[in-house]
Amino acid sequence: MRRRGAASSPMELCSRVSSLCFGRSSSLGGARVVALAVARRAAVRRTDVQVDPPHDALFGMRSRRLATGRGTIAHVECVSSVPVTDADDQADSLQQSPRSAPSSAPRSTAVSAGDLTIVAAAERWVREHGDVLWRFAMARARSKEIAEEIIQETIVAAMLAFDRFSAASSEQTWLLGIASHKIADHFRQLQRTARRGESSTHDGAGIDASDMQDRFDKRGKWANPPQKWDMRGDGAAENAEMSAALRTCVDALPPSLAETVWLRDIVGMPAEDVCKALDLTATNLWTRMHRARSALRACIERTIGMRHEEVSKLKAAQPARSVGPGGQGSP
Amino acid sequence: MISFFRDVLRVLRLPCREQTHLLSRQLDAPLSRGEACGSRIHVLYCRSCRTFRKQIRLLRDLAGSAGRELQSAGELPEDVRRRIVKGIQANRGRDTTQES
Repeated sequence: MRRRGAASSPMELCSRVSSLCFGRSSSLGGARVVALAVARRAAVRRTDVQVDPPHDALFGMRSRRLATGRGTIAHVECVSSVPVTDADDQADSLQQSPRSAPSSAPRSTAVSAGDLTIVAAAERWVREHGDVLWRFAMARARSKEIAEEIIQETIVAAMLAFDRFSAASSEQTWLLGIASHKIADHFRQLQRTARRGESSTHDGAGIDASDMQDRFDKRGKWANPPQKWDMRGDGAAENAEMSAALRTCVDALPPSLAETVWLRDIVGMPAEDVCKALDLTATNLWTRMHRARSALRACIERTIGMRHEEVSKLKAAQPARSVGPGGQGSP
Repeated sequence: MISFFRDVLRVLRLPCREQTHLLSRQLDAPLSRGEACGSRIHVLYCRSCRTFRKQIRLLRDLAGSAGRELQSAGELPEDVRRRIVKGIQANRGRDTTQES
C-alpha cells in the first residue's frame, strides 16, 4: 500500500482522484472532473487516503477504490464533463443522480484521456497475459472464434470488475479465473441448447449419471469398488489413449467441476490460487476436486471397459471370419 | 504427540468413503502427520482404496502432462490480438456513450 499525503479538502481530494483517474490533475487547465464518493461525504473528507498500488496501473477505471485511514473503502467514481465549482455540491448532486449529471455538459478531453488509459491497461493485459489466456481458451473451447470471443469477454469483464480485484492474487490468476467462468458459461449454454435440441444420442463416452453417483453403501464401504485398469504396458500409446479418454471425460463434467479440474490439475495452479480465482473456500475446492476426480475415474473405467469389450468382441469375431470365405482359399 | 495419535485413530475409524476424500484432499493440501499416517495404514490393508489412490494420482499426472503440452501450444495470433484490442476500444466507446 502506497500512502498518499493528506488531502486537506474535498476539492483537493477531487483533484487527486482526477489525477488518478485521468492521469492529470483537475487543477491544471481547469479539467472538469468530479470525484464522487459513493460511500458518503464523510469518507471523501477523510484526510488520510491510501491507494492500492495495483490500482494505479489502471488509471481511468470508472469506479475505483480508495482505502481511507480507517480502512473504509470509498468507491470513487470519476465523472467527466462537469464543471467543478464546488466539489461538495457536485458530489451531492451526483450522489442523487450519478448518471444524469454529466449528460448536460459536452464531453471533455479528459474523457478521451481516461479512455486511452483504460485501453492501455486492457492492451497491457492482452500483451502480457494474452498468450496464457489464448492457450487456456483454445484448449477448452477448441475453436479459434470461441476462444477469441472468450478472451474479449474476459478482458471487458475484468475492466468492469476491477474494483473487486484483490491484490492478494496475481493478475494472471484473476484473469484466468474470469476466463474460466466465461468458458463455464459457454458450456452451460451449449448444454442447454443440446438439451433443447433433444438429441439424446449418448454414445457412451463422457460422464454418465452413474459416474456422479456415490459408489458406497450406507456404512460408507465400497459397494462398487474400483476395478484395476488393465494396462497393457506399452507406455506411450497407453498414455495417449488414457489422455484422450480423460479429455472426453473432463469435457463432459458439469461446468463448475470442469473449471476446477482445469485450473488445478491441467493448468497446475496452486490450490490457494484456484480458491482465489474461483472465489471458493479451501473446503469447497477439496469437495469439488474429490467429486470431479471420482467422476473422472469412474468415467475412464467405463470407457476403458467398453474399449476392452470391443476388442474382445473383435478378437472373437476374427477367427470366425478367417474360417469363412478367407478360409476357403479365396484370393 | 497426543494429537498425532488422536489423528491416526480418528482416521483409522473412518470408512472408505471418507478415506477417499482424504486421499483426494492429499493432492491439494498436505494432511496433518497423524492424518497422513492413518490414511497410509488404511490404504495398506484396503485394496480398493489403494486402487482408487493409484488411479486418481495417475489422472492427476495425465492432466499435468496435458497442461505441459498446453504451454507449448502457441501464442495469441497477432490478428486475433488486434481484433481483441479493437473490440475493447469499441466496447469502451459504447460504454462511455451510454454513460454520457
